[in-house]
Amino acid sequence: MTSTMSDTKLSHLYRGACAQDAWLLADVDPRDLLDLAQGRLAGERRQRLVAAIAESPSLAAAYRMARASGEWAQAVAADLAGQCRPAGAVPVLPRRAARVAAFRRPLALAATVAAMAVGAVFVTQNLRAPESRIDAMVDLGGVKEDSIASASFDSGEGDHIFSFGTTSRQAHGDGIFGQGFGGGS
Amino acid sequence: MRLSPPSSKAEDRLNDVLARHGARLRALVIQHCSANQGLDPDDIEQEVRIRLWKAVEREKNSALPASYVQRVVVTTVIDALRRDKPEQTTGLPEPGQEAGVEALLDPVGPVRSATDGQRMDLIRAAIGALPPRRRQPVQLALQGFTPEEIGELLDMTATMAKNLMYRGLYELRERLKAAGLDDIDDE
Repeated sequence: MTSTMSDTKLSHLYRGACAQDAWLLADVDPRDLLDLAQGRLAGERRQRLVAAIAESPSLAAAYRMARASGEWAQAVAADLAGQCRPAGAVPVLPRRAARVAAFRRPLALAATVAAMAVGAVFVTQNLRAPESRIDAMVDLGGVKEDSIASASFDSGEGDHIFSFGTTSRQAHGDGIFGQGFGGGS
Repeated sequence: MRLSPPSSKAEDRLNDVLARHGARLRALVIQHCSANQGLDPDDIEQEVRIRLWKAVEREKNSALPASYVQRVVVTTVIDALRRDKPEQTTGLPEPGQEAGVEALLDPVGPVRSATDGQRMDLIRAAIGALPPRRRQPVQLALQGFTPEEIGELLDMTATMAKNLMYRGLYELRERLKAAGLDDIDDE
């Protein structure tokens, strides 16, 4: 089949035309290739190397390997570093776990301090409660021994509409509460 | 100089790690260097392994920086490409001589190769005649780089690289057409 030259065919012919690139390969410094792959090469060295890559399929392949092998090299180096920790060395938490631990430590400390503070308030309140106050609560309205509670609600006098007073009186019979309500005058 | 094997412990560590990552390295070589350059992934992996062994033995420590590991890979690939260059430029087999498997599988036969030589010369001349600004984007595109990669290499945006690349390829085709290379059998 006859057709217009495709990109693939053009590319194949161009690479074939550039096959004699041994001299370009001989000149290249692998460190320059790595620097270029990592975006660290600049100036005239960069221009010369890019021109060489454009004319050498082998260099283009090497450049692609330089770009692609970075991640692989990091994985290998990380594994090697992880495996060669000397015996007895203090294990280092993984970054995430360390971050969580660093967050939890002050949180636990704050919770402990808060709990201690609340406990201290209760303790000191019980220790320092005034006797008179307790007595006043007990003697309120002259509570008799067999009475529990009573309330009276009396009308007010003059321009008072209502007055409210709490009195304690003796319960009669089986009554527990005594309650009186008086209308206003 | 004889290479003495590294200590068994360091060797075991390295073996463990490379056993886990070896397949990925072979895949990278197949992806980037096997199709066009004919490198053997197993050879590259073995050579990388030997060089890392030497480094481990020299440093007395199996912890190697990532940059060093990467440089070992790139240097190994470049050395292999340099070694393989003479084989790539070997001429066609003599009559009666057994052709290699690659020659049998290559769709471009000897007769076609002769005409391809002329086409290659024409293509080189046509590319050389392109304006300098379009020449490198076209060359890099023919090497298989994407517009994004070309933009990175030439320090320009991908869009600009794409424009220069397409205009350059159009001009190249026009020049080849003018030289009588507009139609060709295309498998």
